[in-house]
Amino acid sequence: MHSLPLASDALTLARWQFATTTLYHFIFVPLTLGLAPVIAYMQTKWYRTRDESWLRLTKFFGTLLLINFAIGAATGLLQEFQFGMNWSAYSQFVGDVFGSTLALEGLIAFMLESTFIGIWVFGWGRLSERMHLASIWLVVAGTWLSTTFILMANSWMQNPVGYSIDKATGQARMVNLWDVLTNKIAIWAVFHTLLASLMVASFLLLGVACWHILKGRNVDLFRPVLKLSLYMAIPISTLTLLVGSEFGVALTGPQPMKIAAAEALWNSEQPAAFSLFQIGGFSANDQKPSYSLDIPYLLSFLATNTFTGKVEGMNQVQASEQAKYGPGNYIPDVKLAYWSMRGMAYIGSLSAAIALLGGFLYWRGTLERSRWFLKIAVAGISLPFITALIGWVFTETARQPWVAYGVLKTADGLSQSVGPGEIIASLTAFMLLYIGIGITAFVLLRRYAILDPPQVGAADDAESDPVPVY
Amino acid sequence: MTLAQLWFFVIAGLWSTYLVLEGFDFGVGMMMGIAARNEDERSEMIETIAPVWDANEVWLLVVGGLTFASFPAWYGTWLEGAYLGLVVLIIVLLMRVISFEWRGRVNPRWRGLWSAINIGASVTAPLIWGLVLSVLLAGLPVAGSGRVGEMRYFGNILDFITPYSVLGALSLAAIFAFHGALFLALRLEGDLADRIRQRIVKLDARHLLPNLMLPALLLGGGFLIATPFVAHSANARSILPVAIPAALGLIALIAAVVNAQRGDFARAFICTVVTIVGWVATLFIGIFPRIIVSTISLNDSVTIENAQSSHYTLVVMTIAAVVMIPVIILYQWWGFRTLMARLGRGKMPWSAPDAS
Repeated sequence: MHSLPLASDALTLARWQFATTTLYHFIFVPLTLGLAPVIAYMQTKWYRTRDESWLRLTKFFGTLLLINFAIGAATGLLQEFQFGMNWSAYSQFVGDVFGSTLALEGLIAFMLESTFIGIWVFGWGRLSERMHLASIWLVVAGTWLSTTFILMANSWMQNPVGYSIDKATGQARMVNLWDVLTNKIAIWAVFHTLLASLMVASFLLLGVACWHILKGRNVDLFRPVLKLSLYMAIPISTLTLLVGSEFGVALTGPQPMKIAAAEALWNSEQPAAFSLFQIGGFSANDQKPSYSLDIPYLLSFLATNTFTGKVEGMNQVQASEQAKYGPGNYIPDVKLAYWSMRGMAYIGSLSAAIALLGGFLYWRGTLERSRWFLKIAVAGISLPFITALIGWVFTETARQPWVAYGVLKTADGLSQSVGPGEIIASLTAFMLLYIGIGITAFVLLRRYAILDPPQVGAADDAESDPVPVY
Repeated sequence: MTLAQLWFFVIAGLWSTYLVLEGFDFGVGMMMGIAARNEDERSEMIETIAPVWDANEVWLLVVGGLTFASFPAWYGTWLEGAYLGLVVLIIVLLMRVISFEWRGRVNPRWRGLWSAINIGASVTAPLIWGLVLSVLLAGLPVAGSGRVGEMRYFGNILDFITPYSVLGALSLAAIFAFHGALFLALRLEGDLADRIRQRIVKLDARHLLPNLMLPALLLGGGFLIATPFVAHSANARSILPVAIPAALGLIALIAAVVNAQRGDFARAFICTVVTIVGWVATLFIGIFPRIIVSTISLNDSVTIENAQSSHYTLVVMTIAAVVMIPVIILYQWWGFRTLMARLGRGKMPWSAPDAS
């Protein structure tokens, strides 16, 4: 039998499983990260001003947060265990460094967020208002710290620092925790991810507010949400793009191949032009695109912050990596890298444009009458989610063939005793389960997002709490 | 004692914490199948653990992360070997989380289905944990890979099924059911509580079924008695050091039964807590100084010595654990106390479905 349309070897299957389950997990994570501080802000507003509309909004968005939080936390369990299950050799090789960041996440962050979200949910009327407010801020601290540690772990895979290879065992051993915690890639990744998460939340606020205004429901209540969402979305979507661009510059040092592949740049150029769009030119046999739309000097500027800086091409990086790591192909999937980079940047820019347009209409005072914009804003809820997922596709696939850059190849990290049959079984089971959960989650989130926010009158106060109902 | 040996027992302690806490959640889930007559009673049961089950489950992520960091070779080999078992475990734990969150939010027609999912998960998860933990002592086909420092698993999931590990699985599930029933006997009021107190945790001559005291006593007792002998034959341990925690666990189990019979459910619950700690302690002392006993040859076992992380990492983890674990216990204890004090009496204010 020749090659199957879907590769059936354990390595490819294990990669598919990791990629799909991780991306799925990251649909829910950024919304939690972005929405938690918004809710904490709303509750603080109510605590300070006693304006009940902020309390209603806190509870309204609190319900959305809870549905979302549950799935994020539940799917996170697989993320941790999967390292041992499918990537046993990787786990044993890097557990000393990589495992430590996960352990610190559990001890410092994850326990904090899980405990205090329970306290916040069940604490309405049972804690002092001040303690109850503190608990939601502690949830924010927990989720943000959690992200920080996870991105330190991931950034160690992107740019391994603070370790040495043990001569006796051949394993990576941590020698400097501080270097691991202050990995410059991690610092950029944390900024970029948190900004992207706030962007996800701001577009959700914008979309939900516009939906209610479009339907003429609860307009007075959602008018402040509209304003808040624009105040968030305009600066944050712009900043996410700028920080993302600087993140790319920072990555050029540790991973020149990733940046060269993202631009489908086969040979070094000085100055380098930025390719907006091209047909062909994505494989070693076909290095010259048949059509390409370029902006001169722009890539030099993006990659080096000068208009005439030199940008290394894949052929040159391939040669230097072969000299360093031995024979082998060090070029990732170029087409995927090129288009995922552009997908992220273009959809991110589109989102920023929508936010700016919304800001302009708001300033003109015509936003609420511009039904076309209200509809765009509702559809726009999905854009930052898509951008974030494409960003992960880029950052993980363009690191290949490495799992830990320059230290361990993905193929060498695999669990040897787990065969293709077992992974097909687990991948199928997880996919079916995740699709089922995804549909239910979407239906539930949609239902609660278009519901009238709870009243907070004295009589039915307790019933309006955003708590699970059993 | 070396730092790595200390960490072996820290991890045993974390397993105890996780199993004690999630154990009563699982037990409550099982009781939804055994003792509840309708969906409203199941709701009442869930409400007793509603504020805490999520935080309880996070202890699993903590013990997982710390095992990964302190014994990478243990983490890798064990999880790889248990692959299909863990796939099932993760699926049921995930379904269980979703069932908690959505049971009351979806159409009431589906409540029964979500309850069934929760009950199924609450039975399956302890069985899998019992199996994968006790098989560490019964032995697995593990050996060095040939690459220095890396352990390999040479079997499949069927190697996890041994008479001893099956006993481990059944005993853990039976103890959790008893543990959860005692928790409900403490937390609930009214007719449902009376039924649990009279028939489930006490032995009533007129109602032998369903009763959870006997299975817990027989299976739990059987596991505790068997472990020193298995440790002797499979792991070349002398009987006495393993028999001491086994005896303490057994005494606690008997004391739990006696206290339940006398109607002192609070004391009985504390005794099942000690029983679970005893279950873990007996097993881990039985495995010591190895971690995964190899069935290929005892010399091929994953040991504390050959699976440990670097001294530097262990020191870092020690500092983190010494600072953070007391802090976690402090805020979780505070949270439990604050919320539990106001819960567990009849109908909850938020029981009325608000979105349909």
